[in-house]
Amino acid sequence: MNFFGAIGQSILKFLQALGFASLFLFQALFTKPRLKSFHLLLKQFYVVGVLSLPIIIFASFFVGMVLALQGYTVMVKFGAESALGQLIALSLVRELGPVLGGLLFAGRACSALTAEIALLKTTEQLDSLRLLGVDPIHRIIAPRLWAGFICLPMLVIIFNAVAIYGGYWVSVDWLGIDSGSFWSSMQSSVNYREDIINGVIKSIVFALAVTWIAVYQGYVAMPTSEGIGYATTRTVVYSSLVILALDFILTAVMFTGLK
Amino acid sequence: MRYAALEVWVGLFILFTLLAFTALAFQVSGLTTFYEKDKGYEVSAYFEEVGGLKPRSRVTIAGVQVGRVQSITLDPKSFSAKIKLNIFSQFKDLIPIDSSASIVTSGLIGDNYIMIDPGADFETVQDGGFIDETNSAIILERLIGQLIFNQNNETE
Repeated sequence: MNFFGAIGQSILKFLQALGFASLFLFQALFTKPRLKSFHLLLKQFYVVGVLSLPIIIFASFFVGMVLALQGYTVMVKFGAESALGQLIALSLVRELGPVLGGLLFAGRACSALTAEIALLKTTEQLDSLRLLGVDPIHRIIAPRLWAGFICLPMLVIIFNAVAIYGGYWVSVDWLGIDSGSFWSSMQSSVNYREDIINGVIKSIVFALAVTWIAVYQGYVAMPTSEGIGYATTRTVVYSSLVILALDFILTAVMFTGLK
Repeated sequence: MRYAALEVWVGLFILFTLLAFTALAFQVSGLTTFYEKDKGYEVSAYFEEVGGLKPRSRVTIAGVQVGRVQSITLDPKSFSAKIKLNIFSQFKDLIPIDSSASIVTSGLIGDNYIMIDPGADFETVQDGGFIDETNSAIILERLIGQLIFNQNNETE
């Protein structure tokens, strides 16, 4: 009896949290935008997007180079090294760009969002805002959520482009693959609608999921210094797992029908 | 008007994204339909067997691309494949009417594409016209099967 009770209780608790999180998301996403609060969004664009740019560029450049090296060692056995561009572009645009970009974003930007919001809560600044008649969901949560939601797809696009140029650099300048066959094998196999746009759609879904997790975990964190730590850890763990799980579902929906 | 450093950075970030997206769209996926004014013209051909030919495959004369495969459909009467080819308009009035089209493979495991062997007639294939003489794709398994069958017959 206790066993069933425990299962039921935990499921009900989970559903309740999910319901609260959904309400919270809708409240934050559909706040009435005011021109006066645009500078808040701009500030978050800087913190979430621009400051993530260096690690995204650094990581993507090396990912592209490693892909080129590893792909070369395998494909040269089949004499198919001229299709290296195709391998690099397809694997980046379809999978690695959105997933790795999302994971980096979760580690770099989402953890910071959670920690910041949780600290605001711990130091009772959210409550003081409420006392002043300012809704913290409007002023604190909404700009962060929107900034993350818009910035991650942009970062993923940059990730893809930089990684492909990283791969180009290794394969053409180092491994000696003809630059013409590198681009033409890529262009004949990568489809704008089915590969590039689907990759961007993937990153938009990831962006919504991870920033939602980040601001929600910050908002419901235990208002203690320990609670901030727990909330940050949970954000990084949950958003990484959610990215990988969602990626499987999206890939199954988007790419299994393709040749 | 002066802008804060923060605004400049965000502006640069957005510009950089647009740049990366253009590179992805044009350099990586070879997107051309946005500015492709060249509509080309349409030529059809019937094939007994198309093998691994796909839409957007190349159409070549002497190895030079002159168009691409537009659609592959099954003709319900003759059970042969009807292939519509889109030939670039710069090659208008160039392909003789007695040319033949064959489906060939680039390399041993490469893609299938269409090769047109130009004929000698002065009359050329027009928009909506047909190439009558076609050679189907070679199915490797069928060839091997025939070879084994013939060998068995010889030994008996």
